[in-house]
Amino acid sequence: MSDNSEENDYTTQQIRNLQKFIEGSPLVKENRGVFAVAVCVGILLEVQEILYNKVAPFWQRLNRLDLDLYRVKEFYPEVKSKLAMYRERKWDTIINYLGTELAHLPTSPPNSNVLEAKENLNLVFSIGLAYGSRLKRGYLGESTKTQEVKM
Amino acid sequence: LLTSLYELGRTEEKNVSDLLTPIPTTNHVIAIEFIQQGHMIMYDKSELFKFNPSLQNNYLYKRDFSGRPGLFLSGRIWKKDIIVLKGPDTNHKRTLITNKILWFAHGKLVSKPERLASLSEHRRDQLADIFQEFVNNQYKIVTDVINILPLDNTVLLVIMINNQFPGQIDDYVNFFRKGVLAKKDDVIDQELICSICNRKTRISAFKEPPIDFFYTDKIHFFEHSNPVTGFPLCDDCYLEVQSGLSFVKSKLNYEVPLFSNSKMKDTALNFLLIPHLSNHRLMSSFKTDLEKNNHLYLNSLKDLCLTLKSISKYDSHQKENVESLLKFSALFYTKDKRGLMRVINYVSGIYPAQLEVLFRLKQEIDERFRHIACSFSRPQDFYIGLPLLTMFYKRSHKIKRKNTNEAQQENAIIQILSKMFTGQQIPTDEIIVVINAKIRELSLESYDLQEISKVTFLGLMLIEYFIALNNHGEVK
Repeated sequence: MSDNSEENDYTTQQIRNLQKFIEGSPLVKENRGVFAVAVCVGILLEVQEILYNKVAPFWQRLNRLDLDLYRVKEFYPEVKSKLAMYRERKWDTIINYLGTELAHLPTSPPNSNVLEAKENLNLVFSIGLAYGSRLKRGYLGESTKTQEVKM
Repeated sequence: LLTSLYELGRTEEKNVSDLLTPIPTTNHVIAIEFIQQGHMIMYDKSELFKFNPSLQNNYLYKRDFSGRPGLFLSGRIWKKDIIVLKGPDTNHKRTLITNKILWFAHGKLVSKPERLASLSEHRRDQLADIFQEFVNNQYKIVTDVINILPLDNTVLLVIMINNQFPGQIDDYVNFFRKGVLAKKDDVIDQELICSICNRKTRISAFKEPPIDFFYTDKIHFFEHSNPVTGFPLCDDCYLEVQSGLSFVKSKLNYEVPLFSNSKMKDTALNFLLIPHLSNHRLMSSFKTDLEKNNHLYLNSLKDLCLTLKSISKYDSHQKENVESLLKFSALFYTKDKRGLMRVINYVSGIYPAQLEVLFRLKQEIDERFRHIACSFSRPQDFYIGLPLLTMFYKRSHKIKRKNTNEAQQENAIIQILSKMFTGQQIPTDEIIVVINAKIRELSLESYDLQEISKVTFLGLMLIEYFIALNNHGEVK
């Protein structure tokens, strides 16, 4: 029982951290749907890397991080089903929360500044991947408060 | 530019140091010591000293732009040459021995007998004996020098006579001063108006260029190599400009590490910040602030340019008037293969307030990303600094890319720096493209998510910093 409540607290804290991160960065906030998908992909890549003990197979789907909106939209259901297949239940709450952020994904790419929008999308996707990876490794666990750096 | 250097130089108390070339990167001096025994001068020994910047006047070091190690009785040896000199015997080493250790008799001020005319007979004989000793005792001198040559970035090699450096002997100081201010023999002086003080006087061309990047021998500067009509400068103003430039080069010279070039040599982008203040009293306060306060924003700017670290303390000028009347211009330059200064760009309209904004926003972004930094094994890498910008422009040598032109990248960095310093809008969309290219480059090399994560967060910090700078400009 206490284990479950600790895990819930941890997950709640992670979701708060995620919200704070999204709200704190103008670039991420503008593309929060893409960021949410990428965090899920980042978690999946880490899970696969441990599971297969080699380069995560999902990297093949990421087209060397040169992506567009249509590709990104396909990732969320794939990640969800793969994590379910690997029986990785620990991340369900966070993945479901990130699913709610998908409502912010634009329905189609913008007509003007297409290249600029694509570059922004790709950078935010990489940021999401990085965040997901740190999250899965438990490095973003405790708090987002300023911590002292040992030099 | 010249007027500002002149104004800066005017507040200096005149002494020989105005004519010397600053050598901030030198740690050691090797003295080749000669002693007088009766009428004879004998080589005694070579000795290694710690370089003391406050004793710079003793060494009388002035750079010779024609390529020799120095102008008079001191010269500089660079690390790449030190490595060869300490290495096995090769043709290159033998050439360097001649050109870097035994060169003194060929120094520009002493190479021709007529140039020594202003020296007393005693001093002329003394120099002749010393140069003869270099011939007679060359093996011992070379062996002694190479044995104590430290592997520093640069080492100063200087002659010492009876335990005195050349700058401690008045005759040589006067001779050096006259030599530096000497005029070209083949240019006839004319009555002209000095381009700085506007006084009509007889003006001739100086043998040594008044500013480092002013090459009077280059035909595209002046037709028939006549710099007198193109850039008339009187003796007094020449001295003031030298003094001002010497101050700027030693105190307001900044270096941003750039990418390695194709020969794997690290290159750097340098810039001089030239202060513009027309009031002499305020200029004095400015210089005092700069010399006494290590945390003055202008001194902290060196850290921002060179390193990634926390800069939590940066002070403003003590006198408010200085702050409100002061502005800067930045002269961007790089050094070519021969170490000569090549000007790339000149930007004016830089105000102290904007330079302080750079630090304030840096501090904000550094703090905002502390928790991300702490999630990595080297949190000390997660600070805003200009090396971060150049890191993203640097391309891996393993990956050949289209449009990987170093000059273009250098130019792009200069444009960004100019905009940062002047408070103009920084093109964040271009920088996002560069960050994405770096991330893709990494993903092509390996699928190391740790490394990709690190570079991605650093990229995010950088772009957020630029967005913050742009927004600050809009609010203002």
